[in-house]
Amino acid sequence: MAATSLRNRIRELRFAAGEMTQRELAERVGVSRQTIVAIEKAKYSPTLELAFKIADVFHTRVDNVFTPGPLEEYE
Amino acid sequence: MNDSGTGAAFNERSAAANLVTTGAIYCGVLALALQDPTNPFFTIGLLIGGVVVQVILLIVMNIYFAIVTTSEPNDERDAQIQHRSLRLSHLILTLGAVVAMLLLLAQQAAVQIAANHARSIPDEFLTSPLAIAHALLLTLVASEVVRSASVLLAYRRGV
Repeated sequence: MAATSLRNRIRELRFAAGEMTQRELAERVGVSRQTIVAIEKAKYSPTLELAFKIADVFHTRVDNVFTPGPLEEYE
Repeated sequence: MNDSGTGAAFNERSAAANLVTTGAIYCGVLALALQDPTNPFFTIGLLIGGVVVQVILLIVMNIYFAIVTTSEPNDERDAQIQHRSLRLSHLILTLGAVVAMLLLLAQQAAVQIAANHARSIPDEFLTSPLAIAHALLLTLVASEVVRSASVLLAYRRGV
């Protein structure tokens, strides 16, 4: 299966938030670290509920974390 | 969050163990069963033995994985992967049941044609209920292999 068509800025936002670890983010939104890894690598598209929780952790809007489009364009 | 299970790493290892043990035990059971294909007691004994060995192996391996893997609750991704793999497994199970049903009808037709033309039954094994039992067993094994393989693929390559 290819990467999802949802780009994200989680890695960038984590570092901007005091180098927050993947595990810490996972604990704060109530998922496993592997799920955060999969989302960051665009191998999994989160549910709306999880997307909003992640955005909430970074005190930003969900469309500032996730945007539609292939991963290559973002990179 | 779904609190059942012990997380992605455990699920992945458990699926790999299930895939390997199912494949290996089925191949062993089939190889032994084909040595005396028309003996139902031999086949039933092998099947029961195979199931017992697999259950014991999986219990031991899952206990080991639970000890060596960091425990994490299952989340929405785990649930989605399980749901997708079960849907695939169900598809294989349905197809296998249809094939077994067609095989049963073909058996009856072959026996009837042989009787109408006063000929001997074409093949004792292929027209016996054991052939249906083997078709159903293969269906169960295939659905389990597909379920485990799809879980592994989903964790490694993405959903």
